[in-house]
Amino acid sequence: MKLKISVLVFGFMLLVLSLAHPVGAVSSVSSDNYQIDWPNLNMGAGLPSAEGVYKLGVTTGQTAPGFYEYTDGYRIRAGFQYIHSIIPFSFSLSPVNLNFGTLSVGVLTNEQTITLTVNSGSAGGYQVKAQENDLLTSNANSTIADTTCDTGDTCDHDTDFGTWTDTSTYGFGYTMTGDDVPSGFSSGTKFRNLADAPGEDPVKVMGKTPAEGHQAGRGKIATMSARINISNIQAAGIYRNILTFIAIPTF
Amino acid sequence: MQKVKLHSKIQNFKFLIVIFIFSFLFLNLATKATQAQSLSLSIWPPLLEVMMQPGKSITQVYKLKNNGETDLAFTSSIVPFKPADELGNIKLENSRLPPWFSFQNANLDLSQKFLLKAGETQEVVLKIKVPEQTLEKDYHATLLFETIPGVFLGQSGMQTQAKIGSNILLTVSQSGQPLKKAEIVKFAIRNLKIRQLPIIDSFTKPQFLLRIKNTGPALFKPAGAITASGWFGQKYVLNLLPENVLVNSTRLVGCENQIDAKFLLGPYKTKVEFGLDTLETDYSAEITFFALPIKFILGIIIAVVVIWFVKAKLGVDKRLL
Repeated sequence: MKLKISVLVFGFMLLVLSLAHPVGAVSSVSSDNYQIDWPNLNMGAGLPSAEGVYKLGVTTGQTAPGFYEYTDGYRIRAGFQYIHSIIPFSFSLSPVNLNFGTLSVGVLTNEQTITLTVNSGSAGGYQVKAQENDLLTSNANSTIADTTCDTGDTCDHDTDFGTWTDTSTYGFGYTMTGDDVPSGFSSGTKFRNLADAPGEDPVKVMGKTPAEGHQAGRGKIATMSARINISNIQAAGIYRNILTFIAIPTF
Repeated sequence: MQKVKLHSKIQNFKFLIVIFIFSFLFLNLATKATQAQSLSLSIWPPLLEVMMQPGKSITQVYKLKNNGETDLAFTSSIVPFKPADELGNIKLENSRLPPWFSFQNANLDLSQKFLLKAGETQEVVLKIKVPEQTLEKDYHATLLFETIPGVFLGQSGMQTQAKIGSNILLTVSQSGQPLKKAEIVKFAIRNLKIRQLPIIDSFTKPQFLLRIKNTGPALFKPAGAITASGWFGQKYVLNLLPENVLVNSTRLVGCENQIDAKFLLGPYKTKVEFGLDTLETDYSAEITFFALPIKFILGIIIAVVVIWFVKAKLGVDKRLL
């Protein structure tokens, strides 16, 4: 009986100790701005420097050499020298497809949005470019052209940004709002065409560089609002194409 | 009789529970399927800088992660690029690079399609092998992973495809110390208050414009600082960001920090000095700007004018009375 009580007390104490004391083997350390997957950092504090004499770059990461001696015939440096973060560069899209459903004629409300999210943690800067594979095309090979400007607006949507408030302006176009979007979109009041592959180069829809004030971090969010307006002579059909986003850090 | 009724009620209750559980599971599963509407990718490292001798080879591990909710099919490629602007953005080119790049993975080759399940990471070992007799110069490429669009069952609309890339800056050099040459294209103050004149407001922090051109045969990073020295011996040192300046291109180089003063006054002699990859003073340029309390002076002038106007008005009113 006594033995049973002792075992129970021991078990209870062990349970209490286990719950009260967190496990010490940390597999990763993270905050909103960084994540360290291998917490065995072997590094000194601060940047070693002596005014006017020398300056060394320090990179953190795994316990591995950064810049090798050239005696082996090569040197490698992975990541940006001046960003002490190993958060991967990441890019997200939501939703994956833009489903416009049945299009109404002569209205500016056939709109769908797509959210772009970038975590630029370890990148000096970044850009997200967009391009369509072709015009919106039906099975019968009819197309919905890229939008033209409103009457009286002298813009060229291929290279410039223009207003689109007239219901008699037809076609397909988009605008951008949110973080790090080109200022030409004027907070979503100006529209553009998408570049068509392969003839036209993809155009920047989001991005910032250090010279533009880029701050490495998480959760840079922009929204693309895509709009279609068709006239009453548009051939009936299901129109589709493929929109490609290219997310690349700067060099 | 009562027993039969009770039994019947229990049977009905059981049936309802079964229906409820079935509906709950069905709805939950169906919702999950329709909510799988996002795509998320990440890549590490974001940049790879390599200098190597002809005849040598190196390997680098890349990690591609599918952070999304659905499995994705991918393909990969190595695409040459050139600078798109002076900011560090790139323009992918249609040309091809020599076949120096390959994957060392046992089950995956470069350009081969592969499936990456939701939440999983694919590690690829990129091998770069530069043949003997290769011309000593820089080669720039992007390792690109692209999703293969699935079937789109909706009505009129667009399918999306995502590409995520990481840039590779490869310098082929026998000595490991290729010749590096630069030119300061422009060193000026961006936020001048009065056109052409190097004057800023005392309450504004000066923003420097530094454009550096690479006139040599290999890329470099400027290593140095901008130093602003004031009338009263104040000294502000702004370290240059060690950003890559590619061959035959110009780059707008920023600073790691800003002048940490809230009020500046008088002339500031400002000098930029830098070396190429090493902290030297091989390249330098100098400007002088003046910090004046323009807004403050304007405020006083406006206040004096208003007071004068009010006084004059009151004087006229008194005379009329």
